Amino acid sequence: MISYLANPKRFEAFARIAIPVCGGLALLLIAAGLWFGLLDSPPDRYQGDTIRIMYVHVPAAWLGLGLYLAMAVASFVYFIWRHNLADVAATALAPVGAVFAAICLVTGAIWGKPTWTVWWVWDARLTSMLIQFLLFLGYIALRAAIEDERLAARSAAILAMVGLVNLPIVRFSVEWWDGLLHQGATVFRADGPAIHGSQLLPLMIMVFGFTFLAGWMVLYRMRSAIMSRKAGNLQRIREAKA
Amino acid sequence: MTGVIEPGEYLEFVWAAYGLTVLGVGGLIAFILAERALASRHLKREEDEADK
Amino acid sequence: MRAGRIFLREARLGFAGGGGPAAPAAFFLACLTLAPLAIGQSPETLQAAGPGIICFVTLLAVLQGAERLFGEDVTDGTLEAYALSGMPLSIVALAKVLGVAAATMWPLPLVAWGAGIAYGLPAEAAGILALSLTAAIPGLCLITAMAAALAAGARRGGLVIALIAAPLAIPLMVFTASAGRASLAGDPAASANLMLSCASSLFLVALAPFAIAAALRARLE
Repeated sequence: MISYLANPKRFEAFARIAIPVCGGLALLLIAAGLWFGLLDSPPDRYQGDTIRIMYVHVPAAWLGLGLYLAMAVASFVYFIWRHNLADVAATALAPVGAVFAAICLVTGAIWGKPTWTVWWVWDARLTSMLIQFLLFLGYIALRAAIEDERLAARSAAILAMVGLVNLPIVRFSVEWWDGLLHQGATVFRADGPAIHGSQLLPLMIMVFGFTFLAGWMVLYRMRSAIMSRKAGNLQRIREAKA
Repeated sequence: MTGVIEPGEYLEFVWAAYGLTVLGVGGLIAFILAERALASRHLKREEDEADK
Repeated sequence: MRAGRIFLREARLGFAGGGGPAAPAAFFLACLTLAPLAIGQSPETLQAAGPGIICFVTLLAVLQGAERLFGEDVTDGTLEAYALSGMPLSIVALAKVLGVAAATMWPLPLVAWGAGIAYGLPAEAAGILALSLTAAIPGLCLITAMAAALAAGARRGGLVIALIAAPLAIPLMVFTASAGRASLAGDPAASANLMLSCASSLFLVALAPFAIAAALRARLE
């Protein structure tokens, strides 16, 4: 499927359908999720209404990690097969992933304050997401810093792959570090003691809704990037002739 | 854990979280749309130049 | 063995140029002097924070040398010469990084041992900390080298190198500092942390050269 879509014309045909579909589904699902999450479900037994923050925090967390994985896979495809479209995908994914990682951190802090009395706690989950955010920043910074576009693309691809290989080790080391400090006492769990059925529905809807939102964003950005590259090529040809 | 949080308590936190999410997502969408506007203007300009 | 020649050449260059081993050691000492002035001289705080600060400052000292690692080699043709030599670029990268590390970083564990004692750690705990640092430094150098291979010479190269290297250095930071803290507390976990530190460094020795070589190859094209 990857080499099928790598053909720019086929991607264009795919995107023409996929972008509005993703956008429409995102809108529907998020609206439904907000309805069920904010209005049509009871407050939590222990956390009251603050549990509702989970419905944006968890999808953001899922995207923060998932978009990085997608970026690393796209980078791998670009590195091995040199499909320019894969590089376009990786570039499109990075800022979107960074924003969702940031939303995860901020909503996590806002959730933490009433529930666990502190804005921030250096535990494995939050620290891992902070590291995830830094990985996105590093990728974006590297691409921006290197002037030659091809070198920037290849260097950034290597960085993304290295980040992916290191990710399990980094997460392990952070869990190890957290275990030594906290001995499992205050466990900042995103879903509390046990997640209730009436909470699972809005959560799942929001996760899917956010995923389609991210899909819309990334595909839309990819299309813009293709336009931009085309324009850049035409400009170079025009300037070479002059 | 701080004990049981009564329903209706700390609602400002819920609003803050959703509000910031809307800002973040909204800002990202605005950026994406602006990026598209720029790209399509650039492309149109270049295509017009090429057609001349 | 040609890799050995590269190792020795880089070690010689590292020893001679830019202050050699004195530069990182002096920077290391300066930061370690600054830290208590910043965090306060209370013995309990210093002892508790000591291992972590010393590890963190080690990372900073290694990062300082980043730009010099590959900056000139790309422009003066040494890199091309290495690439044409027929040796795998990953071996070249490993020999180069370890050569520079051996020449310039060897004082750090010694200074760290002294600093540990100055921060109120008992001699044995400071020794374990210094030992874990010795295990961690090759790993840190390889991480920094990889970041440098990707970003050296780019706009704001030094900052980008630090930003790239920081998340990747986390496992080494965690294990090395934990080894120091655990041995301070008499916790038997200290040896486990030391092992993990060594393991992380070995893992990096095995894999980082490939990433470094890939980055260098991208530059050469």
